[in-house]
Amino acid sequence: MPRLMLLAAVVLITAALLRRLWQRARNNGWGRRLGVTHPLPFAALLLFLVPLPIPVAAAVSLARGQLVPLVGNAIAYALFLAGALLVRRGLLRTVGLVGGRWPVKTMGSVLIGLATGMTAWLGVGHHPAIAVAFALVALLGCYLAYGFDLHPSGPMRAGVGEHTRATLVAADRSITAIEQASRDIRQPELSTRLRRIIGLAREILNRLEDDPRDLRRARKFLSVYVDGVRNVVEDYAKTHNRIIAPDLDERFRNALITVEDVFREQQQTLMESDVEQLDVKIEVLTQQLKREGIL
Amino acid sequence: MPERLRTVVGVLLILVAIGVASWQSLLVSCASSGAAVSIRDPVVTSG
Repeated sequence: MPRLMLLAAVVLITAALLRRLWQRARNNGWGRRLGVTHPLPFAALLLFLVPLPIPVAAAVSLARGQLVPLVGNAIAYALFLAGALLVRRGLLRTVGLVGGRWPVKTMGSVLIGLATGMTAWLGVGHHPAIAVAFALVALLGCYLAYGFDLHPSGPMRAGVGEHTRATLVAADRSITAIEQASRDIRQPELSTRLRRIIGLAREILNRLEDDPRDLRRARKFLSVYVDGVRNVVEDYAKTHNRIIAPDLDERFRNALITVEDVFREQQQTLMESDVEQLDVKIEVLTQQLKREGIL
Repeated sequence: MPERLRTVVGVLLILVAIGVASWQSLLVSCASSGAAVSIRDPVVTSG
């Protein structure tokens, strides 16, 4: 009878946790999966799913009156949850859905490492050195899967609206993707041209980041040209190694020339916009000085 | 290391470290004969 009750308790706790997790995933992640962004990818969901045996172990330890494993498992699971939530927040920030400057992904990963070590040490009873090894492997896994955000830079800076941040982050990702795809293109001339285009795109992005008021002028550039270039460059990088097609190479070269021109025009437009704004400010200042009889 | 490979390796390490530790913890807590259980059913031998 007591074993049946213990089994029932374990099943109930597991069911409650799974239900809670399902609701959270549906509200925060899977609901948006049909949209543009994936704020809770499988890799982030993993941190909520994999430690699920630990609360069950804690419940069993409680039922059996084992104090050390109970405390170890309970603290470890709390650390796991806190770490997973922080990593999730860091991932949401990567896609521009939340703000903040704290390195939450790094903090979350450290908590996950601590939780893993504590589980291995107090929950399982491993030697502390082995527990440290568990912790380091978990930390390395978090670093490789999610990356660390010790130096949040670029579009993450404070003071930029969420929508603006999301747009800038998406553009930054596209430029990074162009950069990665361009490494697979072996022709020196095309590579050089692509490097120039990437440089121009980054300059434009930095300018927009410094002064998001220009974003309205550059929205088409960000949403049409950068994404378009990304698609073309990625497809070309995939196909040109398999197929020898001089016509395709020529068309790609021509497309890159056009893109470079468009990017230069965009940069020029933004600079002219700065000049116009400066002109207006000078005019206002001149009028003010005239009114006050200084000029 | 390519982005995708890096993510896969990271996920595998997470599965290995956290998965092994948590399942071992569950198995240990279920398998170990706690004091309360062993005291309740003492084995009496004659002689």
